[in-house]
Amino acid sequence: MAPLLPGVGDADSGAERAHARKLALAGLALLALAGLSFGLSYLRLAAWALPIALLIAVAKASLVLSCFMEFWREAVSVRLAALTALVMLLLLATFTIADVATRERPPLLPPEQAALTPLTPTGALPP
Amino acid sequence: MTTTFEPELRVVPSAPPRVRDLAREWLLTRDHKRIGILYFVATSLALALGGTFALLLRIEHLTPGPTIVSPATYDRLFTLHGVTMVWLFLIPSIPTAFGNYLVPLQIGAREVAFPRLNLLSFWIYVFGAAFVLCAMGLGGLDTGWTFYVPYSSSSPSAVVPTLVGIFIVGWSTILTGVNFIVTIHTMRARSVSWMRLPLFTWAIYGTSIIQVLATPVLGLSLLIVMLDHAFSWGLFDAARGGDPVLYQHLFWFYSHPAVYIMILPAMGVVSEVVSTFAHKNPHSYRAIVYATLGIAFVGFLTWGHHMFVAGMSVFDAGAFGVLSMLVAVFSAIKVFTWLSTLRNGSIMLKTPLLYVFAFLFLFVFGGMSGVAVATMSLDVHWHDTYFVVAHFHFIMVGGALTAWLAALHYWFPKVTGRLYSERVGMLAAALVSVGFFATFFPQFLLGNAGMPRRYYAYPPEFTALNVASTLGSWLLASGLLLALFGLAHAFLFGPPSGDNPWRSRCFEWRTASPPPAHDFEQVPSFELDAYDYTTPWPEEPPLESSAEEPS
Amino acid sequence: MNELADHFDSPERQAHAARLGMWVFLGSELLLFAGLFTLYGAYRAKFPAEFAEGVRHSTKLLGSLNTAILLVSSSFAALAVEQLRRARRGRAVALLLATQACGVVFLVLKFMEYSEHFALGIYPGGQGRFFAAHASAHFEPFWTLYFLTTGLHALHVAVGILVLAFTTLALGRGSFGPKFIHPVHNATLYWHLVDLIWIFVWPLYYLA
Repeated sequence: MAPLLPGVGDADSGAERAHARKLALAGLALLALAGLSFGLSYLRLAAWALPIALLIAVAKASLVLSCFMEFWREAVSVRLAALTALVMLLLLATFTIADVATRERPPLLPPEQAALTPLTPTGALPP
Repeated sequence: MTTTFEPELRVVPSAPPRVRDLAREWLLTRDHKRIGILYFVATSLALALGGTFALLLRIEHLTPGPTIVSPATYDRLFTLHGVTMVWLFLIPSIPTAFGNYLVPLQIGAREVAFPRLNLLSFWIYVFGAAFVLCAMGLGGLDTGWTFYVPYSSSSPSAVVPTLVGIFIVGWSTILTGVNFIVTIHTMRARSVSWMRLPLFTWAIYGTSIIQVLATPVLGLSLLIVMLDHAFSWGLFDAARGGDPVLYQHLFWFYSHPAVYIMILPAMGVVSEVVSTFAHKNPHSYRAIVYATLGIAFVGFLTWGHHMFVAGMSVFDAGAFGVLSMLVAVFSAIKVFTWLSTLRNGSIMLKTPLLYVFAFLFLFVFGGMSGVAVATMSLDVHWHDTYFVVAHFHFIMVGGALTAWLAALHYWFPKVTGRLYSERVGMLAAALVSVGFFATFFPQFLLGNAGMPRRYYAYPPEFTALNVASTLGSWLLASGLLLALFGLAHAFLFGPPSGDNPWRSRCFEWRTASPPPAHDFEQVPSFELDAYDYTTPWPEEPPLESSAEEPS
Repeated sequence: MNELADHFDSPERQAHAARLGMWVFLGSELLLFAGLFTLYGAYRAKFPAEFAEGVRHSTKLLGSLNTAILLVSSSFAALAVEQLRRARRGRAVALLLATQACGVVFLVLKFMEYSEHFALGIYPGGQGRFFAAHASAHFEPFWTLYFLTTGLHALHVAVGILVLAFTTLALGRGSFGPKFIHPVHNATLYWHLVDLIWIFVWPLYYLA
């Protein structure tokens, strides 16, 4: 196989080999984290199960982003584009989930009073 | 006419080309200027169609009862009108036609970053548009352009094919957005730094961000409705635990920012026209830039104000109500900047500026009514009435369409190398403005009096205002036709314009009009800022005595 | 394709354009899935018990195996780009082929998962005997969302395989000139995104 990059050729410098090793290690770390997440799912963590699983997912995602997708080596514009998309995802999720989560009772009222105040069909407080 | 150029140079080639060659040259072109013109033709056809539907709707409302169409046809007509205008005209109109033509010229590039992708996205648009129109023409659709569940999942009309078509058009929007973002980031001439970018390019940049990030969410919500209609997946079906309000969340997460896809490019046009015809630096370039980016961002935070009466939580509604008003802050920054740019400027009153005056009036009117409907308690009264219809037409027609017309006249000499007749142009502008106001102002009154939107019939006491609105729509249509006639006449017989008839300093005017195939014979240094009207410009052509020309 | 396109003035700018274009597109793709994650959150807030029960009914072993496969495939893809930078085209092609093979295995396992659900009477849209047997609770949103999310993800896996296959083919034929690895790099970026999405789908629908 002829070398694609003339000049770089087959010369395996130490730095290049180290980079390949880093990628392999990242892969192994990802599998380890997945294994951890899998194992934890058998424990009775109740309300903590989801946040912990998501936290591990965030750790895995950052590994993929920084090692495989070389996020930190990209130009500022690229990082900004990715970040903006993430912000929009969080916006959509936050406001929509907040709607469903807060629909039951009107806020800003003490619970005992809120329980006595039925909602009108429009979701507004009755006069 | 002090400057004389040879406009026939590129119109008539030495040997008449065969029709097939000409068609291939245009339809498979990768030249951003030609793609822009192709888009212009396609979106203008969509405007003509959507406008025709609107006229029919208005004629139907001449009398309280049946006038020309049946109730079922009426439902299909308003859906057709909405879908055509929103997705086939307003969203692509300024970014694709003018954006494609001008952004590379304004940043000193010879092309967009991905020319083949650009052509592909044009053909995706045409294919999707044809799909939508065929589906709705042959099958009919009666859900309104918002496709709200649960009705859209059970409506016995062509829901799935229409949504497939809109889905396809969405791809074109996304690809165009990607192309512009990358072009503006990577293709700028070395001296054109971010804070020297022309304001229209900034506007297209903000628009593209919205296009790229909002459109996929529309795609998803349409996909879910399609699956529901075709296979009864019922994800929003209350009987199966579903929540129809969630559909509205997804839909408006796209469709509210989509309003800014329509209005941001329009604002970009206004910034250019104001600066050129006041012959003056924008009062604050940075204020307009930051307000553009601010609107692009805040536009994503306000979608819930479409859903105040949908059963959303009071907490969310309150948050959305407050956030919605932020948009007005940024819009106001822009309006005041334009006004103070005009103040003490050496005004050259031409047709584009006249359209911009109309824009300023109508946009402020529509924007203020927008602040009013973003107020929860008021919206409960106005929701789903003609008040809302009037409000968003003031923004979309009064704002986006007048700016589109301003752009059309302003850059007409750039594209064709010819001058249009100011007399015809100004008459058309006056007709459009007055016609528009006569059409939609009565609708504010109707809505406030309680006339609901999308209803076939209305009580007889609403007749007078409805008739006024219909008459206004004829005035508006005749204005548009007159503008079309004026430009068509100028395209064929107009006198040569010279390279820079408006003596604009903006970057796109620093090449020949029409520009050569590769945009610039030699990319200029752009040492002089795009809006610097104080530094003398040695090569500037002498001042024209008058633009009144025989036609 | 292997040379500098005439409208770019330097190869660096062309590289930046290619990369930025891909990342912006990936951002767009992320927003497509954003809607699905949002719906998950909203419906989970509405039906916490049903979602917890739904997770217990998931095909956890197969799904977890798929997670491992996708993670390994992503490592292969990253290594392929690395090998290509070191001008080892043969190894790069081999690694890319391995990536695609993993993708195919993923789809086969996914198909097996679906068959298991169908055998239990779980179909999208709350159709099937499972839902008839549990008429008192609302399991429909969980399962419809599950089919929608994993189905859309599987579609992206399939597209990813195709994209990788095309670039591998072009790479094997030597269509890309020296130093021109953007198509390969971009194809692997797409693959990593598919992996990233799954990293979040997996805990939400299979673990917790």
